[in-house]
Amino acid sequence: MYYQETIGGSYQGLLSTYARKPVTQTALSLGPSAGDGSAWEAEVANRLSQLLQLPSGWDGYRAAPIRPGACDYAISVLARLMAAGGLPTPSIVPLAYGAVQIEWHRRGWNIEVEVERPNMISVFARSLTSNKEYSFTITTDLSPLIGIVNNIRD
Amino acid sequence: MGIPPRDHFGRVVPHDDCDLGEDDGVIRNIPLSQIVYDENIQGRRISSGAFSATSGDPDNGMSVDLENLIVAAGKAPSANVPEGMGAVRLHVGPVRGVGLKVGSDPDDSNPFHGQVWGVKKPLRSKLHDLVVDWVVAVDGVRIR
Repeated sequence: MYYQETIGGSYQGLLSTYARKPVTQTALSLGPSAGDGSAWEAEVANRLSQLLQLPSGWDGYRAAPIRPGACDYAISVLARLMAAGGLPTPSIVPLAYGAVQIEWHRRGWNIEVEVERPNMISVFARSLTSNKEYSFTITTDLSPLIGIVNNIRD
Repeated sequence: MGIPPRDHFGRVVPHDDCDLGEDDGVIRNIPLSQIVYDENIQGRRISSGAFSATSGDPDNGMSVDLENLIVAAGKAPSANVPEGMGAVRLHVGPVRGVGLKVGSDPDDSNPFHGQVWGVKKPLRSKLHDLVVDWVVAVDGVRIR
């Protein structure tokens, strides 16, 4: 409810798509997007639906199921990041403790956004040209993350 | 290998097993869901997320299989990798070199199970860098 109130229409559309989307793919790794800016919502919705269906022990060890709250917050974060355009659909990987990680690897940058739960994000970014690394935690203010992601927009 | 230390609840306590040699291997499964597309290399590779701990503070334990136990049981190193997954090998010495502990943590379903303890977020990328080779390769996917 918090995210619907604060993020707005595009997030609500994606959330409803995400909630209803059946799993249609068997492959669990995302490739590059088709380049259509409107395709990312469907791809992300499908991907998160897949991840939410992972059972306990999905890594062959003791991995926890993926947290719905982490997925919900990932959607709200992506709605903010994608709004300015110029970004392909990110990869989204599950983490063993139940969080999700949004990733882009392009334009000489590696950017990893770990979404642990609502209002808890850890960002790790590295510029491959300067070899500088950036590591920080965000609660509600996404502007440091937006600044990093601006480096990889077309 | 020695019997791992346990607390009064029977849970294995993080420890560094001195019976594990520096060149001994630890095997980490790589689910297909943890493979990403990297435009910088124009190909697919393992995500650093594959080296996330399962348990949080204070243990920050990342599950592995201990290769010496698997081989001592007369099995191939790949024998414990679930079907449909890849797996990679790291060596104990370099893992210890970044300040982590490695020891056994067997359970009823997996007598070869071990853990790497102390894996906080900044160390995931370092562990990724320490991978030496595939135990079960995934077609068309690079380690880094």
